Order: sequence, then C-alpha cells, then structure tokens
Amino acid sequence: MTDEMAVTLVEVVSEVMEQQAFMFADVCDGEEPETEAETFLHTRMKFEGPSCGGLSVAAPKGVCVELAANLLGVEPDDDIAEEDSRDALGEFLNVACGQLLTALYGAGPVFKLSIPKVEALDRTGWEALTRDEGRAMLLVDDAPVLLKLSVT
Amino acid sequence: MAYNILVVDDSKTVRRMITKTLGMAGIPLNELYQAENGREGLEVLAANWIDLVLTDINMPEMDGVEMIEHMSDDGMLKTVPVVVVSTEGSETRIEELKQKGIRGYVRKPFTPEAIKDVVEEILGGQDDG
Repeated sequence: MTDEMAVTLVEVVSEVMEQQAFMFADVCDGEEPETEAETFLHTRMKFEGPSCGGLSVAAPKGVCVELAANLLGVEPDDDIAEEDSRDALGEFLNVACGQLLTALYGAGPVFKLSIPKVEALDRTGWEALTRDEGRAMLLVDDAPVLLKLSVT
Repeated sequence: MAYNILVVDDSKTVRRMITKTLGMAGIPLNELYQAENGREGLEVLAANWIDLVLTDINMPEMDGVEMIEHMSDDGMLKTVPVVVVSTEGSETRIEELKQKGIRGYVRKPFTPEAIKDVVEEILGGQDDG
C-alpha cells in the first residue's frame, strides 16, 4: 500500500462511516490508544480486476454494535444491534471496498468482489493485527479501528 | 393500491434498513418479501406476484446479475421492475445492467430518500399506466 493509497483508504472509510452510520472517525497520527475491549470483530474481502488485492477492517465489538445500531436506527443496547454487529461490519466493508476502488481507479473498471468474511478475535488476535506495519488506524469515539489494504 | 416488494440482499442489516425505509416512506405495502441471494429471489418471484424488486449485486450462491438475467429470459418476470442497490461503482457494469433492463440504480451507502424516490418513481409510474 503506497502512502497515497493509505491516505485515500482513510478518507474513504471515514466518509462511508459518516455517511452510512453517522459515526465520525479521526485519523490516528499520534500515539495510538490502548483499548480495554476483550472481544473484537475482523472482516476481510478480496477484489479482482485491473488490480487485485484485499481490504480488511477490525474493531472492538462495541464499535461494531454501535455501527449496527446506527445503521438500523436503534439504541446500541437494543438486542438487534448486538445480533447484527457481525453482519453490519461485513456490509460496512463491502460498501467501503466499492467506494475505495472507485476512488483509486475511477468509475470505468469492473471489479469482482468477494463476499466479506467476518471472524471474532480475542485480545491476542487483535494485538497481532496492531503489530502489522502495513495497517492504518482510525479513532471512532476514541476506540481504535484498524484498516488494511493489500494490492498485488 | 398496495404493493408486493421483494428485497434481495445477503446482508440482513441492509434488508432491515430497506424494510424500515419503505415502511417510513409511507409506500403502501401489501407484502414485503426478503431473499438472501438471487436463487432465493427467483424462488420468491416464482411463487408470488411481485410489483418491484430491490436487489444487491454481490451475493453468494447466485448474484444479482445472474438473477436479473434469469428474469430477462422469463416472459412474465421480465416485466417486473428491478432496482439495483449496490456498492458497484463501475459505469461499465451499471450500463450493462441497464442493457439488461434494470429500471433504477441506487449506490450504497444510500439515504432513505434515495430508496423512497426511486420506488415512488417506478410504482407511481405504474399507477399512471
């Protein structure tokens, strides 16, 4: 991922989060925050076209519940928000990937997108992702959200 | 006149969002059907009278393009208006979908107003006809 791609990635993901879920993200360009969360969700998908690669997003479960709640217009403590948190994160990635590919390559090329896969992570899995030097970090309500774009 | 609308999307969150939008928009609904992919969508279409289909593209088992192609090949189903609601941003792909007969396209992330407007435009047009 080039520096230019990283900037576009952060911009597009922030915009989708704001437009789709009314959640505001800040770029984390200073000291990275710790999180006390114990459970996390990680979603990833591939794309194939004039360029091929993958995009992934990981976040504390609480951020995903809030994402689902905002998409559905319910309170975060509503059971449906918890129930839809995995699905909501996958759909968020799907939308972000489509918007990102347009931002990077324009509206001409046709890309084939895979179906987003979502998995739960414990703290060990999360910390492994944070050590990946190729990822970017956003802050959403002071919680870290990890992004990674791989282009082959 | 109340309408039967089919929402096809593998994301239950999106199906819930669209369902809520249609309900809040005041569009007269008789039945709102849901399907998780194109194959399920075709099964619903085969068993029920549907006035409008709102469908995603990128779905497992059978994607939205294949479902639309099956509908185009069917004498009855090809008259059912289809609106694609997708993250697809390729003008080439969207033009291909228009050639296959889709009546509208809403890009994700969508606003409730965008869904409401396209549904009202198509179903209102049916009333006029």
